[in-house]
Amino acid sequence: MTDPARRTLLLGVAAVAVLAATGVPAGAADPIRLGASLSVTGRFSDAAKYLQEGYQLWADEVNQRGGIGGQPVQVITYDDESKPDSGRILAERLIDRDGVTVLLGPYSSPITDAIATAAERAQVPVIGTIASDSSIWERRKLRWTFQAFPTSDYDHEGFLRLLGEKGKAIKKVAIVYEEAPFSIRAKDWALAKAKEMGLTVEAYGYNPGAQDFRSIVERIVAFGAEAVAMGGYYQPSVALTRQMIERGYNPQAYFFIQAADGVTREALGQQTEGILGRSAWEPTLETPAARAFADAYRAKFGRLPSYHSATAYAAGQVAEAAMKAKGTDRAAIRDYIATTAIPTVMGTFKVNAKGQQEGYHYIATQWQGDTARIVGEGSANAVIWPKPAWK
Amino acid sequence: MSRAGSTAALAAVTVALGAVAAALPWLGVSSYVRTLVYYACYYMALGQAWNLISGMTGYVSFAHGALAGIGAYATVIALNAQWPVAAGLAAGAAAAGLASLVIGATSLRLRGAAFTFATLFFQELVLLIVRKLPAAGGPGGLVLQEIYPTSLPYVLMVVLAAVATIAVAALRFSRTGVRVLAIKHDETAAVAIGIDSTRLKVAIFCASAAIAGLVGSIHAIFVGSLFPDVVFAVEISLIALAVPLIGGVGTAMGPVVGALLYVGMREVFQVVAPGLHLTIVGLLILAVVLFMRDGIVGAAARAWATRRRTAVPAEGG
Repeated sequence: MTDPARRTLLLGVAAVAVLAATGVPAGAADPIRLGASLSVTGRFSDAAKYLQEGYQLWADEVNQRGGIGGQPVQVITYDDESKPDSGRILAERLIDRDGVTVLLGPYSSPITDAIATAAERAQVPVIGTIASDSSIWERRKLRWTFQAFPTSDYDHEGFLRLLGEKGKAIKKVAIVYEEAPFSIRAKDWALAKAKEMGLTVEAYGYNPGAQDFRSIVERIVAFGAEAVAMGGYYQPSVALTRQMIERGYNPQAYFFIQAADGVTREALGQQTEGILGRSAWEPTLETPAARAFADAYRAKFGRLPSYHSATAYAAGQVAEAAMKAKGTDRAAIRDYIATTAIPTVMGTFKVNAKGQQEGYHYIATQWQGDTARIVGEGSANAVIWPKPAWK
Repeated sequence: MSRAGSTAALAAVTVALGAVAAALPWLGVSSYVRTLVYYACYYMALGQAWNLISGMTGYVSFAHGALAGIGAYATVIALNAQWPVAAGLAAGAAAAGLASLVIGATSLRLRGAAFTFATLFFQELVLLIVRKLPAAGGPGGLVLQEIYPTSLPYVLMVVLAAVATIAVAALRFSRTGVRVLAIKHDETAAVAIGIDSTRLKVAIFCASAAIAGLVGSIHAIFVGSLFPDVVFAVEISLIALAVPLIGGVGTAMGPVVGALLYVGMREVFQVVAPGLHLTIVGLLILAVVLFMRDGIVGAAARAWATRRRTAVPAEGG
């Protein structure tokens, strides 16, 4: 046999072996398939691994319990490259070629919107695992797509609640927001709420991806804000923080929405002390469901889960509840998800008539030492107030 | 075969392939395969639009994604105002054509890199303007109120890809095409023999932009929803350029081969090597650009010619 021919043969044998090792054993019931679009490559790639682990843990647990109606479940994942056009093609592939019963959602509004378009046409339910931006449910009617992540409309809720409890002396609040739909909607909600609380508020918009906030910091100082809330993405938030430190401007309370992420500590070091944030879920959450999930996750992967893994697991739980009740009838699953309160590791899943998440909101966090602790509402942790001076 | 003959033959083959592709929705082919065919035609038509100006004249454009985006926005605004579909598409082509005059009438008077820089700035500028424009929905973008069946954009895109391919072939073998190629190879000499190079370049860029605008219009009907950061992402301009580069710049078949390979390779590698597929495709594109300067079509034509040259004497004995 010639060398290339032998190589081809070896490759063939290897491929068959791999298929045999990973495939569903012959004779087992056909699996119920679910499809997930993950941003494994591209600008949203940070979270993909944690989402995949959440799905895997959920599927393994269901299969250990004997599956759903005797059928095992299988989550098929593909990489959407963080691009809507790729998401659109892979939604077609998952629906058409893999025959999935339910789609589990991708990251970012444009990709969720792209997959929703394909799913609405094909009438397949989509659980938007990590879609926080509720505006895609505002701009058009999505019948088959549901938000499973806390909506970003309430980004500033925990911060304002703490302000009401602790910051009686504070009269002026500055809100910085990105000129992007999610951030604008969150700002509008916060403006109304703050006015209702009797606060004087000013809002400062910036272009997506901005890094220079010096003029905004000067305007905030001139306004005399005692508390600052930043509602944009992570990189601009870090830039704004650094420029506030540079300027020597130290508000009594400072909040930015993605502050709870571990990377904040790496970027800002000791300066994080007292910075408030918000989180969809934390492994230190004191609910039985959260504790059971965190323990199972640690046993399987050897570390504490992030909120990404928790949301993925919760999306699985929503699909599981619907399929247990309705089998694999997609229309019945859709109706069930649209109208039912479903307990998950995130809290109770419940969507409004538009499909937006109303069941669970964000929890407030604060950097205390080297951890972002849950503070306020029902938490035993004391809040550090006011924020200590920059170091 | 004569040049006119080969153009006619190419046109016949293109029309036949286009007819088959357009008929797929009614031949029971799965919607996944149709989506792939759609995307191949989308990139093909966009690549041909780029090919028309940049492949033929050598003036490299980085704005074809933005021109398609202008077409998309114009069409969605027109259709939401209850215009008929044909008028909506015409609005997209016209808007992109007009926008091209803004870049072309100034920068195409100059030679060299001025045009390329103008297109790069244009791409960024349009995104900034659209994000601020309330009529264009601001940062939240626009939604097409009516959801059209996918067969409409599908057939339109297949037809557009075929028409654009034939247009490039027809131009290449026409008298005007010879003048355009003269500009590409030596613009000073072309002007010296009486070719009005500025006028020709502006006219071709305008036609190219109108095709790009139409591509955007049809894609807008396909996706039904526009986000400025996605529609005006620089990636789309890069695909418009990569597709002809893979297949062969300045040839009619280049973007056809390029688009089919681009879409096909990405699908195959995404299943075979998940997570690595973009790297693999990127390396393959790099290899083509480095080792096949005239693209796959050019390299294949040369290999064919070499074989014939060596084979003919042997057969003749």
